[in-house]
Amino acid sequence: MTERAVILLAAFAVGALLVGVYSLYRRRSRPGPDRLDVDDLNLELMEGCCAFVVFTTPTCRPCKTVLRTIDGVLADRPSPAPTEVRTVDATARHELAVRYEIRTVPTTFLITASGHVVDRWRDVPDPQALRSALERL
Amino acid sequence: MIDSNLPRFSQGLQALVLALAFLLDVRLVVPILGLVLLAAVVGGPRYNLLARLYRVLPIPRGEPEPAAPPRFAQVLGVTFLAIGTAGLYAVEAESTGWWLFGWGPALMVAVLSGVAATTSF
Repeated sequence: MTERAVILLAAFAVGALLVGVYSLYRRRSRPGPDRLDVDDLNLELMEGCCAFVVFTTPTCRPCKTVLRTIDGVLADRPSPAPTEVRTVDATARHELAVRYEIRTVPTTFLITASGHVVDRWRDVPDPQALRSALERL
Repeated sequence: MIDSNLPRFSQGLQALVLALAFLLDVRLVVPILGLVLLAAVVGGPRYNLLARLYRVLPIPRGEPEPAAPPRFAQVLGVTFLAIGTAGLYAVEAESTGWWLFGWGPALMVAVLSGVAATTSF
């Protein structure tokens, strides 16, 4: 049994190490938060629903394209759950841009009612990518 | 969407049960747990014994999260436990193959479940 205990501990140690390395890699290749604070964003979402949060600036032209793309995707859904679209001016709400590691605009998040980030995009997202993310909810 | 504490509970229980089974050399636990996960994968929440147990216990409810990743983890668990079951019963006990293809996959499920239950992985 001692031998098995050693094997078990070694297996958990190796597993934890591998997961740690993977998490580090994931954080480097996909930086940004896993959760947004819905209170920061003045969002009150019903359970089962979600929101697109788009970080923008007043001079950001592609940001308008992002909003049109989101509106188009939401309009096409056959039986949509209520989905909010909230823009955040990264210059006016600089503290949020820093907290959520916003390095470029537009940056778009799809979040659940509790703020859990389902997916995120930089620049103008592909409509199919938005639809796929909504289907994961 | 599912309660975020449900997969943590299920994975923690799987890790604990498989770890104990390995320590005490109770091979039967591997196919039994595999069948429990298979019922959940094929039958959905209604046939998920671990979810039923979770609902009965006084565990605080978590926030909703996407169901797809835990479901994928269950499919992986079923696959590895099936391989482990075949290894444990078809290969000569205590041979290298028995360790590699029997307890090996079962330990992988235990480790990955344990890590998933205790971290945000």
